Amino acid sequence: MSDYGVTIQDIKRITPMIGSGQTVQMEVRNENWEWSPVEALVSFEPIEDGAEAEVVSEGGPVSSFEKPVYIKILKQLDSESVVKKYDIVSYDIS
Amino acid sequence: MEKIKDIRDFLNELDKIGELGQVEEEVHWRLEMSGIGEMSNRLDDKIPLFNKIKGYPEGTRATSDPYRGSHGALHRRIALSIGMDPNISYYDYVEEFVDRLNHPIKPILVDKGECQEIVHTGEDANIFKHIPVPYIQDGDGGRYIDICTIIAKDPDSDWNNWCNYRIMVHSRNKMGVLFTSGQQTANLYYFKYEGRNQPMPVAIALGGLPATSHVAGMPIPSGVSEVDYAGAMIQEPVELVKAVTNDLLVPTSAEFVIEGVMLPGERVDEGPFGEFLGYIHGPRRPAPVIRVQAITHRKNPILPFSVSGGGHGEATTYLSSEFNALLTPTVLNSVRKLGFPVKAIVGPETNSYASVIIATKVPYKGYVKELAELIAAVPGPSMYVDLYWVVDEDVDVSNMEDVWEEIMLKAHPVKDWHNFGEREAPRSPLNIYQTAEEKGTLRLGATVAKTCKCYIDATTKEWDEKTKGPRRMEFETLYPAYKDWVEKNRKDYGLPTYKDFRHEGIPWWK
Repeated sequence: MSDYGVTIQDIKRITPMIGSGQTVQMEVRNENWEWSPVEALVSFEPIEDGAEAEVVSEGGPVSSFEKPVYIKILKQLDSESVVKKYDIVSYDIS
Repeated sequence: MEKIKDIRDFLNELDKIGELGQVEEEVHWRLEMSGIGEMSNRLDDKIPLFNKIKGYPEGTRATSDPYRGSHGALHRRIALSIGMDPNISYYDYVEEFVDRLNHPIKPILVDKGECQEIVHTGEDANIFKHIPVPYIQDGDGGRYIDICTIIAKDPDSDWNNWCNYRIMVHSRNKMGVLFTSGQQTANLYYFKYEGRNQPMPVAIALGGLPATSHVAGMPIPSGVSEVDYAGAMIQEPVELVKAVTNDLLVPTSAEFVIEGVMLPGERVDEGPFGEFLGYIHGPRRPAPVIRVQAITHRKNPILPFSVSGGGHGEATTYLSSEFNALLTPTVLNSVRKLGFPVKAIVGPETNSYASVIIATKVPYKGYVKELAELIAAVPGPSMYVDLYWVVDEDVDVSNMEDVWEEIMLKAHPVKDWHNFGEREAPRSPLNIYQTAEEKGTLRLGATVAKTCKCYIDATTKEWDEKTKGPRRMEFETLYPAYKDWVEKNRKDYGLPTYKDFRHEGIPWWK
């Protein structure tokens, strides 16, 4: 089991940047299975000083991700940025 | 038997009857505890108690599926945990359980609780540091808490709701909780607190008096506090103490309590997770956030967890056991109070939480439709169960071959298979046959999944009171006058004893 993990959703989102040398912002889990936001390089080829990451896929009978994914973490970002903010909706429950 | 006041007493009772496995070797929270737990579930072996967990202080312990039952007796350890004989028959257990439920007991408030022997607040309220939350199944989206009592209060009344939903530890002080609108606490969050742009205080009790875990999974009506029914189960009041950082009341016997707040409009990614239907289930998607403010616990705490993804048929888990030992008896009690002469409501061992068998008298024409539609709409079970099989009261509902025979022979393919049609209603998004569209989205909790209920009426339709027929033909009914004679003489005639060749190692199908 790898020390790092990324989600299939993030891989799909950053597909155009993978292997391009561009940095991306994404969530990465560490060996303690704690998720945190980072700035990183991502490639399907090994990266110098990088590490292979496990891909957490959607689950269920429909998907899996077979390609190896390598990441190199450049910077930890503010841990609050993992929280997504949505507009408050007042529901009509009458 | 000693009075069971917490999970420690329960584990001691298991030890006394030789059903506790003390694991003294160090195990890892990552797949090792759950792997051993799953194999124990599959083999119906002892309940493991892990006494040394890698990376955690000495004395921190965990146990997997402590209340799971056994094949043919899913209720037995839940019975033990509430002070009954574990060898009680299922029917006797249900009648005793229902009788206790009808006598709810209010809790008592005390000043101090063992659950607050040690308190961590602020930066030190780090879940990873203090609670050995397991990474349960390879492929899960994180470390999961799956046996818990989530406590929240209705902002408009004194109602305290207790529930059990899966919680993913996202980071040291944030957790994502799978709230599906239609569930009571999810409704409080989405439709009251969030709708009014207010924070919802929560407390999550882990371990403790077994009844406080059990009641969190039972379909108790909205507006009624579950803790009264935990008291009913053990026939005495449950002790509660005020939480450290909010006004919620938590069970004093809890091993751990996580105190926190859920802010309106906040989500973190949650999932996938190996779920009770036996499939790993996603997709990962945004779920409401619990921000951790404090962790309190007993000295040498014990974390219970379930290897829920073991599914059904192959293994028993706490979740498959609670369906028949806690959830369906509660529904049975409710429909009986409405005057329906129902003998049993159970989920098949192989797929409880997905279908329900109802054994009943049929006192008048149209009764089965009334009953099936009523049960299909009971809040709670209706979130999970789509298929209902109604059979005569004399059918052995623990024997699926008997139930199948009733369906094949008594349910008319056109007239007795009833589909309510597809409709939008509160629905758990965890069934395997649901499409992504049917699962709906949890993002704002306002959408509802599509659901479709079906019941099969496999009761006898043309009963003749005079001939007592149609009569099922078995050896006893075919030869009432000769059965004793045959039994007495068959050995003398060299007739073999019963043999099932599947038990001889010859597979029926490969």
